[in-house]
Amino acid sequence: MLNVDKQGRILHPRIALAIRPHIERSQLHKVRGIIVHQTGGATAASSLSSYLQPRANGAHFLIDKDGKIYQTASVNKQTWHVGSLRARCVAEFRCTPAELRVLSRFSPKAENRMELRKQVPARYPTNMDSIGIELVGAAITSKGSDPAEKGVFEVVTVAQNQSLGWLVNELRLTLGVPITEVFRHPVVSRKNPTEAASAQW
Amino acid sequence: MVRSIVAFLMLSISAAGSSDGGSSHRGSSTVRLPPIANITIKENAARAPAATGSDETCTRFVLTKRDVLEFLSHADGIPEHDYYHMLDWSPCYASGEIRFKNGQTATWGIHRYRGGSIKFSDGRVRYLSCPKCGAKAFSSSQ
Repeated sequence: MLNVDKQGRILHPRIALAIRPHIERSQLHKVRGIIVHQTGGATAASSLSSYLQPRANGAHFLIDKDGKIYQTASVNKQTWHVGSLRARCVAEFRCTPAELRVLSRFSPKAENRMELRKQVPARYPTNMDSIGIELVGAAITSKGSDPAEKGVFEVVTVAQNQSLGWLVNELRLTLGVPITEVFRHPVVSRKNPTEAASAQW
Repeated sequence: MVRSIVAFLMLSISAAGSSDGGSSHRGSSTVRLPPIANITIKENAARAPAATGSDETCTRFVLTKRDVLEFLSHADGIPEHDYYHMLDWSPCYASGEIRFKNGQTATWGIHRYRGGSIKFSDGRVRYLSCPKCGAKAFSSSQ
């Protein structure tokens, strides 16, 4: 179990505090899930720097390529890291006829609205009820001049996966999150499928 | 006509949006593009290398030069984090090159859910989102 202070900071020698208030939003009342991301940028420094900008978006934790863990936001606060939701019933083969009617029109916005009317575990966790963990990792293109749309995320390092496994386990025990509510970002939202594809916990 | 492009295209970053995080970006700053001499389209209805497992078809995602210019003229500049985490990602994209009047060059990419990027020849990357862009190719996915 992790020692969490009243400000939502985790006091542990494996976690460096680098709280960035600009990425913190409203109160996070109950954590129901954990979402694993890759940053898209090549260094921890670039993410930590970007989180200093007014109204920046980010996630609660950042794991560098050498496995160093930074806490970048209070676990008592929401951060915006998820985006629009996919319909969870599709992946779990349990959509109702009404849900299938919405999905048949293929509107990501309508799909997100439908999901936000549900609660976990009927839907995937959102910004409102999840912790986000970022793994430093760039989206690489085969030619340097190619635009970002052609990017494929680089492989997560062994050190990152070791830290991720430890952090996910400790957060789950501390915050009461079932292992079934820990997801890679592209599972819950329409994202580049290679993001965090090699992450393990 | 692309040659008639105004002196500077202004890409302004919009104010933050709703708490569901669906398409919310941090607040204002402005990106300026130099005057454009020419835009070329290299790929249309293309499928991203990362698109393994997606069954989304891309054949209808075809942009014209006019669509590209509209996108570059009206898009909001967004941070890298928001491009990867807040925007929907689509396997369908178009891409090409831009030559600026100052001699600089860049590659551009635009995907089906109105996100895009410009990579300048010096390595700088600008990430873009244009929720208000109305090209037919975008509406075919909504």
